[in-house]
Amino acid sequence: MVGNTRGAPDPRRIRRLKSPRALEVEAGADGVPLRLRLGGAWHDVSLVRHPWRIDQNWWRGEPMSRMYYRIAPTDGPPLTVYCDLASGEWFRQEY
Amino acid sequence: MRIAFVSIPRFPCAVAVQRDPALARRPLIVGDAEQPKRVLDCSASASAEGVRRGMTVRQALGSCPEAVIVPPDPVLYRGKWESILDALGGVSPEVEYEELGRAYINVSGLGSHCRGEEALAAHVVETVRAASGLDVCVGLANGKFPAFAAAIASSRSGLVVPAGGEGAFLSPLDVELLPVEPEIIFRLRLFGIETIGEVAALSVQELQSQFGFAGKRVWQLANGIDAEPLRPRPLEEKVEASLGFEAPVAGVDVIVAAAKQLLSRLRLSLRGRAAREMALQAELATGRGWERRIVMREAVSESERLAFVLRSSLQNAPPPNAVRSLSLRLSGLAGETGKQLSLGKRGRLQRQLEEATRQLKVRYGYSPIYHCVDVEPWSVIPEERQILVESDA
Repeated sequence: MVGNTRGAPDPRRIRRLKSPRALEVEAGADGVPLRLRLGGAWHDVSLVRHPWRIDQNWWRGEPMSRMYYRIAPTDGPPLTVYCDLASGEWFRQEY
Repeated sequence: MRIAFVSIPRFPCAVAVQRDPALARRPLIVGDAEQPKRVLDCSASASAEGVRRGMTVRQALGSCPEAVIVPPDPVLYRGKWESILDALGGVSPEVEYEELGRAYINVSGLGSHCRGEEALAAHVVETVRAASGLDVCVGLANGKFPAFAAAIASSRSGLVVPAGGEGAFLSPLDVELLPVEPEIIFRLRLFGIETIGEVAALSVQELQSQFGFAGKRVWQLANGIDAEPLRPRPLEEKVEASLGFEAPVAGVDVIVAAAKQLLSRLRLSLRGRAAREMALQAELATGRGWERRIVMREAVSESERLAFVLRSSLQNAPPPNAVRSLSLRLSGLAGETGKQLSLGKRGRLQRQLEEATRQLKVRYGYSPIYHCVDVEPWSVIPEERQILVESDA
């Protein structure tokens, strides 16, 4: 009996560095994050840098639109988050 | 992919009852007698009294005062489960070990070898019973979740869900079965949704608007679509020998002498190869299992050296009781390699790193050391710049 050599590769062998991780964020009407959930608790945040937008791959038919924010929770180190403008979901990412 | 899910419910309890059938008559709790005093597993009768895994033994006894508490025996559980996995490896080479008592096997195309999938499921049931003597549930379907659900609903000979019939099969089952966050199940119930069929009747958009990311997966699972790949355990060659004593023996010298005898028996099976890992298992006079696992920095083939490593390890922490039987397993087999000495420090460091990587790979089954490779370092999208590649050494 021969094993299936075309099976899915083991994801442990190769993985992306700086993969985004889903995050719960509450944003204001202007889209700027106001609160985020870290370690099960909600924290107020403030912007520490002007937001920046990235639009990529629109020429490939798989457009990617993200609005990045560098924010700092009231009692924690700053972090980078982005909002996927297509789905409205928030992610945390090392930039 | 046709997948069979093999489940031995309440595995630690089943093994404890098999060892002492008298335990079957009373509610049973398998829990640590010492720290951290938590319930590892409980019998169905104890569960009916409110005992749950993870609660403290004190709480469990409050719910079920007549329960018998048995200390866990991880060595015995692991040994039993390994023998079951080895037997399943005879059915299909792709076996995924999920946890004790739960495994998935890839059975695509095997139905024709057994005159149909029903016969194949029955063959898997018989294989596990012959290897362990334990009762088993087997479900066979397309995808992991439908196979899991089929096993839960299976009879003694297993249950087969025909390809394409997953959605209809899952429809009447309780939403509790869905392998998703408990919070999602809780919210589905708040909406008055009790069966998987009711979830399947909703649209992807409706579920995504409620549960975000997880909504799509909930919809797919409810419709019997589970594309999660099978992750087979690596096939590893190992050689093993065991011996029993007429009367329980104690003392490092006696155990090392017995281990030397086992090593000499294994010499033929080794065929000149060296072993990177050595595991000494014993059945203690108390009936409990004991194990010492040693991962060596480099593969070793000489019996004397293996015995020396074993003696050093046993002197630090000998078995806590007299030993009734002993078993020695050598794995991580490799041909012996010569060492080219280098004048440069860099070459030596590189070799040390490679050696350490191989050692970690044997210990964990994969290499936890990665090297970073630039893919598109100029990209504005962070995750496209670099990847981590497992270091194979």
